[in-house]
Amino acid sequence: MNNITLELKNITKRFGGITALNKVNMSLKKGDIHALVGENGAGKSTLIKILTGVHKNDAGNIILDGSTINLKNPIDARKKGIVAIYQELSLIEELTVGQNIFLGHEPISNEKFGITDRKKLYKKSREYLNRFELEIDPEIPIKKLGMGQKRIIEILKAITIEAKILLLDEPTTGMSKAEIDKFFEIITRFKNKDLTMVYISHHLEQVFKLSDKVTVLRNGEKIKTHKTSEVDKETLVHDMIGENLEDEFPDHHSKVKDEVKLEIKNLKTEEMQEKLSFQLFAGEILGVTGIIGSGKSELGRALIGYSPKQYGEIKIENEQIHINSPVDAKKAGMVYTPEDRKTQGLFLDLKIEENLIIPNINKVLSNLRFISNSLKKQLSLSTAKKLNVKPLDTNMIVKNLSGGNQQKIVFGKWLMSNPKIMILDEPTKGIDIGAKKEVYKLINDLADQGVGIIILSSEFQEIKNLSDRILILRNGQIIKEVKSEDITEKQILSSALGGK
Amino acid sequence: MDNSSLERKIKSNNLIDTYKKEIGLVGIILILFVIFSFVSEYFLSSSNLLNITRQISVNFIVAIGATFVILSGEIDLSVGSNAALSGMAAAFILTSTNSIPLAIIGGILTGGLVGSINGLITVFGKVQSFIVTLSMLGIARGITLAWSGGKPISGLPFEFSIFGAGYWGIIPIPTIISFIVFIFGYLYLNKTKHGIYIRSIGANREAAKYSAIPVSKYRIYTFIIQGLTCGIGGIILTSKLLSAQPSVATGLELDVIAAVILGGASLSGGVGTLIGTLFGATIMGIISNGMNLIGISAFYQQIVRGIIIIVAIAAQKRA
Repeated sequence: MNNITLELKNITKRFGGITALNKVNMSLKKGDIHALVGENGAGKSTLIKILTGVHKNDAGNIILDGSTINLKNPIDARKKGIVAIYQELSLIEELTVGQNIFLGHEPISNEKFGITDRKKLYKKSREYLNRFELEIDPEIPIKKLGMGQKRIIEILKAITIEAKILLLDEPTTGMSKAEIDKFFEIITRFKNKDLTMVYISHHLEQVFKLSDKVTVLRNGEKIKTHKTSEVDKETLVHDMIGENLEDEFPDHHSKVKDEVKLEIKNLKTEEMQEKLSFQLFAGEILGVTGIIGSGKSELGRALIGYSPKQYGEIKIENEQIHINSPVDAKKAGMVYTPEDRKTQGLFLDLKIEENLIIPNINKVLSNLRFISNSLKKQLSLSTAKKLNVKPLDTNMIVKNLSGGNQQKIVFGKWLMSNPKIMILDEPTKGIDIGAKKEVYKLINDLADQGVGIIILSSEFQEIKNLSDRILILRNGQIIKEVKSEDITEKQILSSALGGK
Repeated sequence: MDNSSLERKIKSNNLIDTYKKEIGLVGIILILFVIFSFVSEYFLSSSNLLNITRQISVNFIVAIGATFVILSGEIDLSVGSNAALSGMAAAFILTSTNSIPLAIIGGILTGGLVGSINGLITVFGKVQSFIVTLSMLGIARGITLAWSGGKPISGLPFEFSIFGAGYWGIIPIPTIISFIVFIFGYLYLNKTKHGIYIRSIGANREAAKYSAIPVSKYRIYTFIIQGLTCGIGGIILTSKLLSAQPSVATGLELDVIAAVILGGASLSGGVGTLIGTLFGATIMGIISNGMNLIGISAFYQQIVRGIIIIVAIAAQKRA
């Protein structure tokens, strides 16, 4: 079998006492798109980091084109043709497309002074862009491109240095549905006998659409490699979590009460396209969905007064409330968990304890208005327990937690404040199925206690299965309001996209 | 594992982790002690050690305020000019009213006023604090010079010298003042919600806003605190010389920022402690004092000080 380009044999990696990878075997066939799936903490990132020379494996061999290699660092891996494309892009916004593609290996016109040859740079860039039928002008700055196109340029950059193995880590992060479709189309154009791709994604539908083979990791062990065409979603999910899919969404016995918790009339802020009006009932989970650009997050920010209000009324429990800042919103009992937990939701460099306590600091003040350390510990520990945060160490720096546990902290900091209304923006973005289930259960429990919940999400399955009622937004307008039992996932998608 | 043993484990790990930087700083201080006590037998005498605490007092007091500003992710370059202006204001009030309490209150409030202007422009004018306070550095110094006509205000009543030159027993009064400011600062930073809010704003301003923290208010507070400490520092300087010198405290901002950063704070905000600042200011003080004792010229002192700061900070980053 000499059409195997990269082979991993018994790769083992330990961090302290924790085994991140245990005797993992995997082989990549030349020209394949090989998907790698598994929950957060399954070992995908560690595997990528070993393949790019960031970490050194404790045992096992990496065999590239028949010979065992030793990867010293990412530059070394890159020289050997292994390139990773991470969720965070490495493009320079102010430089042009062409300059980015050839960054670090620009065509030179004068050897002695190392002057770059602009003409040649753009000519070569055009050749590459044309080869893959990409209609992108190489002379415009990167910042003018959308997320999908940026990701494509990043891949093109790897191709120009003759990468043999491309590791794509959640490449569709931040792309709209339309961009994703376009991206898939282009990815298949990149496919050829010399380029092997490893595709890491939580989105199984993408795995099915793109990949030739799929390998499942669980708790640092390889469970199985399937031919994608011979496996179904249930089997994969079962391999990933060892449980069946039906368990993903909790049984939701709707307990919507006939009392209006929140009433919005003609609300509009600077960043919203249209005025919006709707109601939310006690104990209700209201799903608000739409594709990127539909105005979901803008609505969330408007409700808590993050961006200045222009028009409209907000009534909470039939009382008119003036909300001009998140401080006002919290006072009125309405809280919001933002979409991007790393930049908006968390203090990554602070401890779990501090993250949980900061928004609720008044609860741990003594009579002298001093912070009580014991109260702080006690309250944060009990909340972390309730959230099932792992590890249960409130002194842990939040940066070091897995995505799912981070999301629990974002969620948990508001639990303590006993909110009347919770607005959750993409509450399960980028977290694994196990953590999702826990978040769903927390949401359900809160609704059962009579909290009004608004979920802003672009995951239609989540919207369909979690909500009592669904609002579909498009271009800032509510285009459909429907009970969740009266609509299917497909219908949600087609209304969101603007179909019938 | 049951809860109490888990908590105990967390605690012991935590102590070492939390004070890792401080332990390193104490190490540096000890090394400096050893070196200077070898080259000068006077260095370790109690009168010299107390003298060091007096020498660092102004730098330390202003650095306490700077710790808050830097923690919130901002910078204040106008502290030297602000101290000079505040000291001048105190002297002016003292000569015109003959009331020491009024002079002190007036001096401190002048510092606070300059700080609040810095804060308001930075926050509501949405101008970077570097630019705002760089401008204020010139403005406040200019006001001081114009006000005094470039000449010192002297002839202050002798009793006023107690704050800068006085002793309580063998302990210098400026040392006592800096200790009191430190205690207030420490409680404010670590025991009140204001402190944790300021730290969180520096750690991630967006997240702080989404966490329903009144971000603008607390950002302005840090500049006011900084200003008040400049006021106190300015009064000590005026008192020590029994005259307000318009060019006093020139370049103070650099020593202050160096002390805070040496103490382990990060210029990008969110990281830093007042204990660290105390050690940072102490290290700077020991270096100056020791070099004076050995008789190194002021020109070379600057070079040596610069090198030691760079080496100390680089060593910290590695630890």
